[in-house]
Amino acid sequence: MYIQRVVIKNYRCLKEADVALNQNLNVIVGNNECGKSTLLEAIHLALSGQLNGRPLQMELHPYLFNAELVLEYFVRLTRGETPEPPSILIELYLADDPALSKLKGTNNTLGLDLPGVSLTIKLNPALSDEFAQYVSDPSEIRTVPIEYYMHEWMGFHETPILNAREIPLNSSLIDASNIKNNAAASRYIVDIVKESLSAKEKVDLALTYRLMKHRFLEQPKVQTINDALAAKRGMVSEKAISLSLDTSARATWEAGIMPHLDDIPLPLVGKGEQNAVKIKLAMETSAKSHIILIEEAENHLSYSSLNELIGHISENAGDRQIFITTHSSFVLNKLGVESVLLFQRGASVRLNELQDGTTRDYFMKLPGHDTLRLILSKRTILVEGPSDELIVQRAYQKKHGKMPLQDGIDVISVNSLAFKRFLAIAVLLKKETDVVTDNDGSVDALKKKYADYLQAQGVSIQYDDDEKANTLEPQLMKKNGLKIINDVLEKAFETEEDAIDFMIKNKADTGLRFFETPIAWDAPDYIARAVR
Amino acid sequence: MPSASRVLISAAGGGKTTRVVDQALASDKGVTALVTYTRNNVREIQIKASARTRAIPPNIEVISWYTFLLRELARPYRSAVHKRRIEGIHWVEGKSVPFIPEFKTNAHYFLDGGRIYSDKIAKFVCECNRKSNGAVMRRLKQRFNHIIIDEVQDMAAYDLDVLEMILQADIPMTLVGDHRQAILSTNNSPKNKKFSGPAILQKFELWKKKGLLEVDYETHTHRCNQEIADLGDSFFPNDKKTVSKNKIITGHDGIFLVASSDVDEYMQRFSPQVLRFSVKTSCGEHDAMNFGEAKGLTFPRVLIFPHVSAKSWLASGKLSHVEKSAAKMYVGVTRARYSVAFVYDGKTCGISAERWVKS
Repeated sequence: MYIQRVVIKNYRCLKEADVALNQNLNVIVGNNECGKSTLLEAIHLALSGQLNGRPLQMELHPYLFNAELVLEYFVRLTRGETPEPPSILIELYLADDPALSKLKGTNNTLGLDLPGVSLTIKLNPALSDEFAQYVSDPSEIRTVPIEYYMHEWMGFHETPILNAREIPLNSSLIDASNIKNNAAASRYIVDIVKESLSAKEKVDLALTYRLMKHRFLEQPKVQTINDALAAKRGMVSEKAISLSLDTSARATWEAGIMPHLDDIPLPLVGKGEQNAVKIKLAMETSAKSHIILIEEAENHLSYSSLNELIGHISENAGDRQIFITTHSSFVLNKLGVESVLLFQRGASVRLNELQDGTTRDYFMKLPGHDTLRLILSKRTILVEGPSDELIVQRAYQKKHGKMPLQDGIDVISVNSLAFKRFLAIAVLLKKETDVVTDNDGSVDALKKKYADYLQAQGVSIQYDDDEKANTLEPQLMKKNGLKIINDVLEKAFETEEDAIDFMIKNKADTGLRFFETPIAWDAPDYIARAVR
Repeated sequence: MPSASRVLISAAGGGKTTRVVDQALASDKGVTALVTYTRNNVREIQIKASARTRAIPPNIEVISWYTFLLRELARPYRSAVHKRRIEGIHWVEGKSVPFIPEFKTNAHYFLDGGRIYSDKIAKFVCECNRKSNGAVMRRLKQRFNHIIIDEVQDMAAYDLDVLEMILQADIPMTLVGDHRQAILSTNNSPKNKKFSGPAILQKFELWKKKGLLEVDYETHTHRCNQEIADLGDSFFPNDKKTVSKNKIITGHDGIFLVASSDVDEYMQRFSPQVLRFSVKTSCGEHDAMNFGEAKGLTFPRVLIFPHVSAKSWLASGKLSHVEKSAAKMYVGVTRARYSVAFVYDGKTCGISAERWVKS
């Protein structure tokens, strides 16, 4: 039992998301603020009906709605139009398992015949008149008036889900960053521990706890104190005062018990260790859980603890579906690039879904770091080697006054054969990408090589039409002339050919000189276009 | 190849409900649906099941026929026929919107587009399954391992088509009922009219011919003694005879005629449950129950105030007088364990009954 696909509309930063998922492990990688955590939160919400550990109806707030959408709505209202009131949709498409067939039907936005769950937050039709009244002067309103809203939780069979237990899939959300105080942290652990206890163990704990409270009163010292207090009758109240412990239903063992690690109360243990314990506990106890959602596993953890934790996760995954968000290339490599889900504001790509098998294999073998760079950058410039990279970096800096990375632009040096592989992902991710390449003496051959990408959205292949200036070195010469080249290289070549010959033989050194020189030089046009 | 499905025709007092519950509890493979006609039946089954096990196991779902139609069959693939969610059922007596043709889907099936007419929901289900290329039945097959339908004799019109669709989808089904007690009808549409009431038996035989199910008869009764069972049988002379397993002798057993002047005395002596065909039959001061209401119930003794045609039947013994009310008469007399008495002052009597006289 697992989630195949998630469709989200207008939930927080996810205005439109349609994410296909892996059956077992999903390592969700993406920039800060790209909606990774929101994705996990939405999945958990649709499965449990709970937000921040409380029923959704109690946690409804205006900021659950996509800000862009809300703004658009009020702008249109102000213009006197009658737009549809904002609403939120989360749909989970589940695997077609007979055990889930109760939730099966075609009542979903994609019209697929699958089991699934859909959660909508929408205007309560019974209150639509009042709502209309409320928004009649839109100039005063900035947020969605949540008091007129309701949520509707149904399976794809279009019958309401009244209790999370009607969904045979259980999920645990492990989000260490979200737990703000120590009491919450221990309650969280107690909740997880509780899940692992049998009914009998729970009863035993509850009874023992209550018994212990009763014993407290029987202690002679407590008795003495209570007798003394009884003697003071009339001073504070006409009734007898005595000390006791709360044995009401409110004071259950869950509230009075503190988990310890090696005899140290959990809240006093380091944050990193706490986090690791939470993740492990959840893995351990979620025999009943099918879906485990882990937020930034690497939080507060040292490299070696992280190593151990990730090992634990991958060993104990079983056939559960696991979601991990991460910024760490280490986590990525350790868990396997094949389970990576590149995520960006609702658009997502699974590496194992790349059509081209060789491209897929390439990235699966590539160290996670390079993959992450492509995913996390705002814009990418792909170059053919280290010397090209230095030239491009410097050209950018000369033009913009800062290094490309400071603008979120990553210059990645790739083997020329790998260009197309990177482009395959860039296109899928709609990532703006420039390829800076030599024409190698044949523009036709180059056009043929990049035929698939010449027209591709967001991809620009930058090269020079002059077939005589076939590589970077002759291009630099063509743009700057022998004098500047000699100055930069601190040489005195007689002919351009000699200088080019030297540069080709000392590629790396040449690149470094161009990078470091105070002398003004101009980048060849095709590079200038890339650093625009 | 013998079919996995069967219909079990059981005489009144044969312990149908008990058997249905036992059968459901016995299965541990997959989910069993226990579908019954009314909500009262659902309640009755839940009580029976709770008496046998502590709680109804999660793999048994007890639901009423209309809930079954709505949740399991109509809603999941309604988009094949209808644009909007089906909010619920709009109950109609008789025929809903008889002059709106089928092609006006929205108005033909729905009140205000959201509430489906109770007499059309089964038809809607058939249409959904057709338009979704069988998706409704494919889902149902995944969903339930076994479907048990109690009080199947109450099904009519498109309900029967839905049942046939399930049979054809090869989902193991057990239909339980007694065609002789076919007095309620889930559906008032003209569809399948010739199989309404006790004639539903012919539908079962038809399904048997198509190899869709086996027909089994359960001919004994734990409730009525042999004389009462025989009287019940006499309304359906062509059907299999019932064998009584109730051998208890109380000293006042069998069929009796009571003069109207003796009714008070009789009531005092035996405290029978007073039954009648309908409200139209006057029963004096006595608290009476209609035959229809008494369905499913058991009393030690009953006293029947016969309606006009039943009086003619008593006088002559000719079945033609009660042909139209045979099912209700059958239900009426078979409520009793020990004795059935008719309030009757006529001189002649065409049935075998003893005149009760004050001693």
